[in-house]
Amino acid sequence: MRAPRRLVALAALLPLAARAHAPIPGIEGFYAGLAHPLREPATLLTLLAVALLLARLPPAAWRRGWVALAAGAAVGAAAGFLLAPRPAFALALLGAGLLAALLGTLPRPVPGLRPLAALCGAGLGVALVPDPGATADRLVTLAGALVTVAAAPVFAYGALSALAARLPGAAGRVLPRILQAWIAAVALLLGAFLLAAA
Amino acid sequence: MARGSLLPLAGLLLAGLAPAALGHAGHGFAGGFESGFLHPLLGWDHVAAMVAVGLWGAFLGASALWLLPVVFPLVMALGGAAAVLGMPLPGVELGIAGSAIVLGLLVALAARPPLWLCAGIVGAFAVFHGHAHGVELPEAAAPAAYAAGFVVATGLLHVAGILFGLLAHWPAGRTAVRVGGGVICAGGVAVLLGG
Repeated sequence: MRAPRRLVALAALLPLAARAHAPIPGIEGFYAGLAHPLREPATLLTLLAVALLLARLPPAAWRRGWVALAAGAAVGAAAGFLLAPRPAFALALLGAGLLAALLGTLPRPVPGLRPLAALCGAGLGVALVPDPGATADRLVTLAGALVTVAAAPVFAYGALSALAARLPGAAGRVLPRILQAWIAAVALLLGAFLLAAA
Repeated sequence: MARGSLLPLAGLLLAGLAPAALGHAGHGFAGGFESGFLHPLLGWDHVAAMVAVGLWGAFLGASALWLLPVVFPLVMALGGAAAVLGMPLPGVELGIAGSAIVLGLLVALAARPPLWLCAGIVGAFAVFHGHAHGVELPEAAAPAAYAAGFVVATGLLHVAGILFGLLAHWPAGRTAVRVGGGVICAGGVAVLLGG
């Protein structure tokens, strides 16, 4: 009876839209918050740059950098919540992200990255505060965004570890540097664009 | 009907039930990325110079093989940023054609100057390529996506050159890579004379 199984497998591929409803009221805001850092170019580039930069550190230094990033994001989010209206932050955030990406292109990890991780975290925290609205909704959405900020370095660390295991030679070490060069290039161009538009 | 013959039929049936693909967005983020990605690919002179960077790296050893693709996008972005900010750069087309000529010639000669000089040569030409891309950035619907598209396309062209350049490990491949450099150089001369 293999044919029915194959039919079931084929049927599972039917590309219909999933219409699952949210099981918890208000959870949609959390999901939107999760995606928020990935939808804004400035936050995405900065998060990628700092996550990849930290991921090249030894485990103990990576943990300290991760704590600095997460703490910075929490402080920045609290400050962003209190600042009304929030300042135009994309250019400053891109600057921090550009610095992180440039440091990530160097052959060896630079020591003392915690202040930069905290600065990037603070910038991300401020930038990710949702627009004015109901306080509870904003907090739920912000919580989702902060989860993504905290999770990104973990994913980056896992990805680079897997890459190093599969490509133990120079390629495994240099591919993150090339990726950081690409991130820095895009950040530089986007920064110039924002500067020209200002 | 045999059970086995049902499967292709069922597959066709399921394929027929599929809703229309909506992946061909010609605007917004996807449109910006697409136009940025295609910009380096649609200019012969851009393609030739990017591939030549990768090819040259193959002759220069492992350190250069990876240094040049790191240096090029960074300096290219500086040129692009200058264009976005309205800073003029004289002789952009000349610089781009010149990059194909010089880099192609260096590959054809299997030249091996010091690494700092290689990075300097590649970086100097990258400014012209970046400026040419950057001129179009302010008009892009999604500037970040356009920038990401052309940076990624440029990087992939380097990878193409590096992969072809790896043939240089064999004597016949080395000849093929050098001939490739000669073709790029000749193409650059043709662009220069034709323009």
